[in-house]
Amino acid sequence: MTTDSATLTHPLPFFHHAATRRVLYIAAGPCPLVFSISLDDVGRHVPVVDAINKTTHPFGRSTAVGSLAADEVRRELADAKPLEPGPLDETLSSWANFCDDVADRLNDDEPLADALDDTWVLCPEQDVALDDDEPTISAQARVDVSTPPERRL
Amino acid sequence: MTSTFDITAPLPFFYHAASERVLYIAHGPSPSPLLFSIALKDVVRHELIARGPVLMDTTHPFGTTTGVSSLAENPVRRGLADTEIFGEPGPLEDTLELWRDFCDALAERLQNGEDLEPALKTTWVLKQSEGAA
Repeated sequence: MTTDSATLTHPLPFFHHAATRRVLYIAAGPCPLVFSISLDDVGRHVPVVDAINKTTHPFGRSTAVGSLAADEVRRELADAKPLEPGPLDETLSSWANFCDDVADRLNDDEPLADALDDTWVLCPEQDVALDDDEPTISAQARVDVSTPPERRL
Repeated sequence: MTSTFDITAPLPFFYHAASERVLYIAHGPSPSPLLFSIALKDVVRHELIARGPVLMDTTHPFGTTTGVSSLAENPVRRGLADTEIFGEPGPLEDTLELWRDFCDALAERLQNGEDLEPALKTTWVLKQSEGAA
């Protein structure tokens, strides 16, 4: 039993499951979810420059999600070791943000496949002008202008 | 890492047979889910408290019998892997539900920066000011 509360509440590290070469991340939320991605995919996505994409984000195609209620998930987590800091830190941090956003959607009852497909995908309804007097086009909106008309609302 | 579980369903209690302890992973917006444990014999011993008031004058029985750990620790993750889902709590269900509430309250205090020992001693303890008419 840990007695140091600061250690107890310190954010969990990423874990590395050597046998599968996957990185594990436990997202916060009403139900802790275990996300995983292969190290190869993390390396392939370096650097991830644009968080918002017009189609499924690369993370959405390479991320798996599991519950600690599953025996195999608990076993993988037990076999994993904390991941040492390295050149992939920035990408992993971005991936963790992606996982947190997916977790939010799942906890809002969105189906898993939809959450993975649509998280960090640009939606036209995000193009809201906040200043009526002088409309501004956000970076996201500028991207959306290039979207084919049939994909706009 | 796919499974047939509803991944957003509340996690069940787990049972670690070797240590005869029940485990619970606290929910909440914590950046670090906490793993709580209690000996099954203590759950049995406290079965009747599920029928009494939640707040106590002194340290709540759960506060003296609950362990807290982080999943960052290798032995904790290994211990969790050795558990099985605590199937049918039966007559212990009410007590375990109450213990879960205690753990959630404790987790919230720890996440707010309180030290572990005072949090264990004073969670669900009736303060004098709260007892005033």
